[in-house]
Amino acid sequence: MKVVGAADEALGKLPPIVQCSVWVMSGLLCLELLLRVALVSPSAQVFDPTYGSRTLPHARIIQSDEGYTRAITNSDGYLDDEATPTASGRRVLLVGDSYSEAKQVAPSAAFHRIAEQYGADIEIINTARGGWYQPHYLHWLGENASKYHPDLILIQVNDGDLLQFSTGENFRWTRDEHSAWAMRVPHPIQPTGSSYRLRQWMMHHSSLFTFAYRRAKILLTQEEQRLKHKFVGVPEPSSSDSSDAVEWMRSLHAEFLRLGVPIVYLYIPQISYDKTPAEPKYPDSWRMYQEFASDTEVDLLDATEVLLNSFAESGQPGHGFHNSVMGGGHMNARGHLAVGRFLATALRERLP
Amino acid sequence: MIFSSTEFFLFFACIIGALALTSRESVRRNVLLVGSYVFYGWWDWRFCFLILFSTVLDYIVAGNIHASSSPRKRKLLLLCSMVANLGLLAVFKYANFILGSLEPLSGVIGFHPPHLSIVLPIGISFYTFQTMSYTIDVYRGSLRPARSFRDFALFVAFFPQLVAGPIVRGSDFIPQLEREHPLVPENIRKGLAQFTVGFVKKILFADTLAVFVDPVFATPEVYSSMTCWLALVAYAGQIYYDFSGYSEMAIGAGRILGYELPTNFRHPYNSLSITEFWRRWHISLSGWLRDYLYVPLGGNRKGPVRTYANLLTTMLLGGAWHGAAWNFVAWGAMHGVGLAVHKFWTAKLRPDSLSRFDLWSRPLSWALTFLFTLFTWVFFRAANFSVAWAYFGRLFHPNAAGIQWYYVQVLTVLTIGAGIHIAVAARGDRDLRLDFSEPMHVALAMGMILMILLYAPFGSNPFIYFQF
Repeated sequence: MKVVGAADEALGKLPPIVQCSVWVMSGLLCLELLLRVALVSPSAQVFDPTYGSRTLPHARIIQSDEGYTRAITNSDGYLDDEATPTASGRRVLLVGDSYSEAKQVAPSAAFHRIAEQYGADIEIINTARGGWYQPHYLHWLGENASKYHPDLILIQVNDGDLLQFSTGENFRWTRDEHSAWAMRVPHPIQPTGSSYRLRQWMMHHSSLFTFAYRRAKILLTQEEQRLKHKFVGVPEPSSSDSSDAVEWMRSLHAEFLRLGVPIVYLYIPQISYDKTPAEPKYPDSWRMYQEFASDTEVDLLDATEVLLNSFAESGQPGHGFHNSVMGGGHMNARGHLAVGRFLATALRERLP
Repeated sequence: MIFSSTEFFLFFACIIGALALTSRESVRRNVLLVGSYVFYGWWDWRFCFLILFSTVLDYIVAGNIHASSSPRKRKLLLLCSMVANLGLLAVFKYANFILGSLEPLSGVIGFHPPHLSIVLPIGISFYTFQTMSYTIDVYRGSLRPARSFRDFALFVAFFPQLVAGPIVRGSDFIPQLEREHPLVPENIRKGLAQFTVGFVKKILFADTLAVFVDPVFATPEVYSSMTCWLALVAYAGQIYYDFSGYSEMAIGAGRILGYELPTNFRHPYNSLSITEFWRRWHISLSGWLRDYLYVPLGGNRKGPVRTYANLLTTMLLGGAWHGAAWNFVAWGAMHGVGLAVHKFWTAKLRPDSLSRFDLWSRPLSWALTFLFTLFTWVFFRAANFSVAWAYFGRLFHPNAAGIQWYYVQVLTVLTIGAGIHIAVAARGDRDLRLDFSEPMHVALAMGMILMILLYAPFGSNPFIYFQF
C-alpha cells in the first residue's frame, strides 16, 4: 500500500485526468499480464465460411472458467496431439462436442487419451468441438473423414443434443414438406467493417479484452432474456418428443452409414449426484438413446453405468470442478478416467 | 426492481435527470414520490394500493392522535392503527403459517384448513414497521406529524429503503423534510462511493457465495462434513454481504438524493458477545424491537426473570418477523436464549473474575459468539426442520463421507472478508480508509466495475431480505 501511496503522491503534480489515465492504464496492463500468464488466453477463433468459427492451429489455450487447462492445438486446430498412426494402424476418429473436446481437464486426462493409454495400440483422433451436435458431425465427416482413414468413427452424444435438435438454428437436420430429411447448412457471411476487424484484432491480442467481451456478451444475452420474460412472458419450454428424436437419430444414422466406416455412438450423460442413489439427470433422453440403439441396432456405448459406479465407489462425482458447480457441467478428471477405461475395453472388443 | 439490475440503473438515472431539471423542492418531492411508486409497482403494480392504504391509514390516525387531547380516544386510534397494520401482516404474511400450524389440532375434529394462494408483497414487513413506529412516536409525543400527506407518503415509500430497509423511523426521516434537498456534488460523490461498495458486496461477494451455498443447503446429506462446514461459513458471509450490501446501496442512493438513512451494520462478525452482535447486526430492526417491543414489555426494569422473558419474547417475535415458518421462530428463540444467557452471565460473573482468562477471554468470546451465530444460521437458511437436522448431522458426523467441494471462489471471498474484518478489528473497529487522491479513487471504481464484469456470477439474484 505504501508503494501505491508513494506513486499516487508522485503523480499528484499531473492534471487529474492524466493521473486517472495513468492509474487505469497501469491497472489494465497488470490485469492483462495476470490473465494472459495464468487464467485466459487471447481468442484463437477465426471465421469459418461453413461452421461460423474454427480454432487456429498451434494456438495456446488457457482456460480457467471450469476446471483448468493449458494446451496447444494441433496443426488441424483441435485439442489433440498430431495424428500419428500406431504400429497396428488401428485408428478411431472421434467427433463430439465440448464433452469430448475436454477443455476442462489437462490434455493427458481427457477420456480419449485414457482410452489410448488403456487400449492396445489404438489411436484416437479427437476432432470434437464445443457447441457442435450431430448435423455438424455429419457435414464435417462428409468432407473430412476420408482424410483420416479411420477404422471406426466414434460419435459422442449427450443429453443436450436433443435440445439443440429442437432449438438449434444453425446446422439443422430438418424434414421438408415431403417428409424427407435434409441438412440445412447456414453458410455464414463474414462480417466486415472496421468495428468487427478492430474487435477481432483486440480479441486475438488481448486476454483481458477476450475475457471481458465474452462476459459482456453473456450478460447482455441474459439481460435481454430477463427483460423479455418480464414484458413478453416466459415462453413455453420446448418439448422434445422422444418419438421424433428417435426418428431424427435414425435418419441421421442412415447418413452416417454412407461414410462406409463402422459407426459407434458414445453416450455421456449428465448425472444427478444429489439424488440418493444418484441417477441420470435426463432420464427421457437416456431412454431415447437406448430406444434408438435397440430399434436401429446401432452400437451404443452407454457411459451411464460407469459414471454411476465410479461415484458409488469413490463418493466423488465425475462431473464438476472446485471452481464451478461440483456435480454439474462438464466431466472432471475422475469422469474422464471412468469413461476412458470403459471406452478402451469397448474399443478393444470392436477393433481386435 | 432490484438495485443490481439494469432497469434500476436506468430508473435511477431518470430520477436524477428529473431532479436536476428542477430547482423547486416540491417538484423534487413529487418526482421522488412518483418514482418510489414506480419502483415498487415495477414488481406488481397492484400492491401499490396496499402501501397506499397503509400510508393513508397511518397519516389520518397519527393526525387525529396529535389533534386529540382525550387519552382514551388517542389509545383507541393507536389500537386501530396497530390492528390494521398487524392485520395486513397477518393476512399477507402469516395466514398460511397460522392455518398450517393449526392443522394438527383442527385435524383432530376433522377440519383441514385450506392453503390460501396469497402472494407476499415485497417489503411489507419493512414499511409496516415504519408506519407503526411513526404512529407510536406521534402517540408518545416524541414526533410531530408530517406537514403534508405528500411528505408522509414519501417517508413510507422512499424507494432506496422501501423493500429491504434499513427500517427508517419517522424521527429519522420526517425532520429531514424540513429542509431542501437539491442535488449536491459532494453528496453524489459520497453516495456513489457507498453505493459502489454495497454493489460490490452484493454482486461479487454475496452472489458468489450463493452459488456454493444453495446446492449444499438443498441436499446436505450428499456432501462431506467439511463441505457442509464451509457452506455454513459461506452462508454467514452470504447473508451478511447480501443484506449489508443492500443497506449500503440504499444509504448511498439516499445520500445521492440528499437524504440520510441510518447505518444498519457494523462488522457484526467481530462481536464478542451475542448482545454485541445485535448492536451490530440489522441495527435498525434491533433498535425497533428494543424501543417498540422490549421496553414496552418492561425491558430490564421488572427483575431478572421478567428481563429474560422479555428478551425471549422480543426475539421470538423478531424471528417470526423474518419469515412465516417455525424455523425462523426457532432461530429467534435461540437468539433470545443466547441474549438471556449472556445477560445472566454478565450479571453473575463480575468482570474482575475474568482477569485470569484475560489472554484467552477475547478470542474465546469471539469464537463462542461466532459459533453460536453460525449454528443458528442453519435454522435460518434450512428450508425446514428436517433439512436443519440433516445439516447438523453432517456437521457433527465424525466420518461423514460425501461430495467434497471446496469452491475456489468461495475460499477467495471468505479470505478477503475475514481479512477486512481482522483489519477493522485491528484499527479499533474503524472502517478501512484508502487515503488516495481523487483520480486514484476514480481508477479504483473503474477497476471494481471491471472486476464485477469479469468475475460476478451472472443471473439476477434477488436480495435475501426481499422475502421478509
